[in-house]
Amino acid sequence: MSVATQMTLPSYQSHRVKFAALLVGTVSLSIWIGLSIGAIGNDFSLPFTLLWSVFDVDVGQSGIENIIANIRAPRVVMALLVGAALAVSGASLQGVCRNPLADPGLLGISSGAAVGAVAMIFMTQPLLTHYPQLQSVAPFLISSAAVIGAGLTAFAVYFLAQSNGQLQIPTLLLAGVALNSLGVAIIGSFNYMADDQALRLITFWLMGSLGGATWTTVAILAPVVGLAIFRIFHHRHAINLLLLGEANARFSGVDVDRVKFELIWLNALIVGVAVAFSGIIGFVGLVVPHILRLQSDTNYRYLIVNAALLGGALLVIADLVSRVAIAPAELPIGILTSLIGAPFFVVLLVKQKRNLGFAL
Amino acid sequence: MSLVLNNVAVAVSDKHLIQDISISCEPGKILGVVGENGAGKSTLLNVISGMTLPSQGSVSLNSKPMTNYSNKDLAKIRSVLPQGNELTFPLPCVEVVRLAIQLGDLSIPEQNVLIQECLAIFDVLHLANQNYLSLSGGEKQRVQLSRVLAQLQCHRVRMAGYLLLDEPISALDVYQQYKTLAVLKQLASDGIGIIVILHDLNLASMFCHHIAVIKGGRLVGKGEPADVVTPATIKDAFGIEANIQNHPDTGTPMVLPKVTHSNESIKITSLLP
Repeated sequence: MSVATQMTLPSYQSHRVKFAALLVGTVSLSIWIGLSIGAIGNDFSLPFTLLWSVFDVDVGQSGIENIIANIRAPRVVMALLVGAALAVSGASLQGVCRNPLADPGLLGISSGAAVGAVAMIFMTQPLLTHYPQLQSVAPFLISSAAVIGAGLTAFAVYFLAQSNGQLQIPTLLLAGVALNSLGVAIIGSFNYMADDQALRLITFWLMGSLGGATWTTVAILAPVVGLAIFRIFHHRHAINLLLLGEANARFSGVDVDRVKFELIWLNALIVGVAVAFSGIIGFVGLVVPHILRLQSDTNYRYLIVNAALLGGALLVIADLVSRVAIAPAELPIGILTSLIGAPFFVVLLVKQKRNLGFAL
Repeated sequence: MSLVLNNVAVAVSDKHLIQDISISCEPGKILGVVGENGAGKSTLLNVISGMTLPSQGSVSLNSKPMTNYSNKDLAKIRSVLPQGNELTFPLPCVEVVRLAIQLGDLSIPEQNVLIQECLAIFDVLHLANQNYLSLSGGEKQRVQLSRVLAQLQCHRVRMAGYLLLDEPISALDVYQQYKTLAVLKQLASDGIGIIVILHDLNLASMFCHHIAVIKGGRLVGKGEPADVVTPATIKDAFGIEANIQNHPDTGTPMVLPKVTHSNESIKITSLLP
């Protein structure tokens, strides 16, 4: 089989490298700005001074340095992790569902996690008085409940949509929408048994906030998100092949059932912990992969890493705006991401319609 | 070295979709499968590809039972083109073909060479960088054929490989239909076994070494075109009276249906005012 052809396929590689560099630059810039700006004061050189102080103990810890090191820094890291988690989750779910609409919010995984977390808030006190030995794992209780909530919804949606060994995509989306509203309704009904303190917490779950970030929460979140993204990345070729449909993926050698199963629980895990510490933050999982598909390409080999970078950077910026927009109060970040994300998404759709003649 | 179906049947809740089917395909040969709509052709192809387990009988591939292969090993020796290859995200055609070979162990430049060859074989190299979703139905079908061929070529290590194609030329124009079948014949002579579902009996008898005719899930004829494409078999399988003449160039049987439907025999009275 030999074909005499001089036509060479253009290499997308240089474009990809440039794009990845751009993303890494954006992430670094967002970290720098995120650390420099805050309600207390802005100082764009401080992050470097502080970085230096890691090596040089003599630099004194003034008040603002303390704030940056122990309040802003964990918050920025948390934003990176949660943003990456949501964007990678959206990207991988869109691949498994072969539908650009899929996103942890739409499929009900986020609200399932929030239901688990809110239920645990009400149960923590009785649980701890009953089983004092649980005291040592108290910080993990809410996140575990959120992961369980996310897992239950993810698998409920998954099994509802499974028929004849194939994932029925319209059923999947419909079931997701139904479970999503159920979750939001359950959280809303907690309103009636909640006191003022709990009400504030419920608002937190429904609208999202990174205000609870500490180095402890970062320490819980980082390994889970890192490991889950690593495993999802491991399945990049399988997700690519799933784009052709489950039958074609199978014909090409993918163990479809095992891959789908693992991806669903990885998504439950990653969304569960993200929601546990930051509440429901919408639109990141939907918009980030969409932007990347338009600017770079659909290949999951690049899409997953790119989504982690862009998702992280976007959430750092969004969190910054939520901190300073109405300082000293804070705007819930979930409201912000939807407020910016929704119109932006509509603009993208209109542009795409104009270019391609149809929207995806 | 061959693909053998022995007394295969598939039943879904007591209803037999196919039964008593024994056929085989050797490397280097094209087996055409023809039959009316709903006859069970696609079900048969699902069994041959290992997607559906037969409820009776057995399928063996290169003298090993189909059930002993893992998905991954199967992908190395047979490649399948099902009907309806939908794609929801925009991908350039070259990346669509690359999907098939990314699980293999070719380097990127080796992949590019193979992709170019496969796209060129099916006459779609000029579309390499176009968005797959913007192509016409026939162009999409040829890109998919390139993908399926690339999968086989990338894994083929001196082993008998098979191409299983479900109506691969249904959206192609007349020139591309001939060209594509000629390409398949060339691939067969290179040592690939091909099982292809077709609707055009004349093309089937021109290009296939053997033809299997299916009706109601059963085999009603199999063998070389000259033995299968007969007025009796055509009448049995499709319910039409036909004249059979030999092609002036190739000598293969050509089906010329008799005109039996007069205007009176088809009435669409319910639609008339």
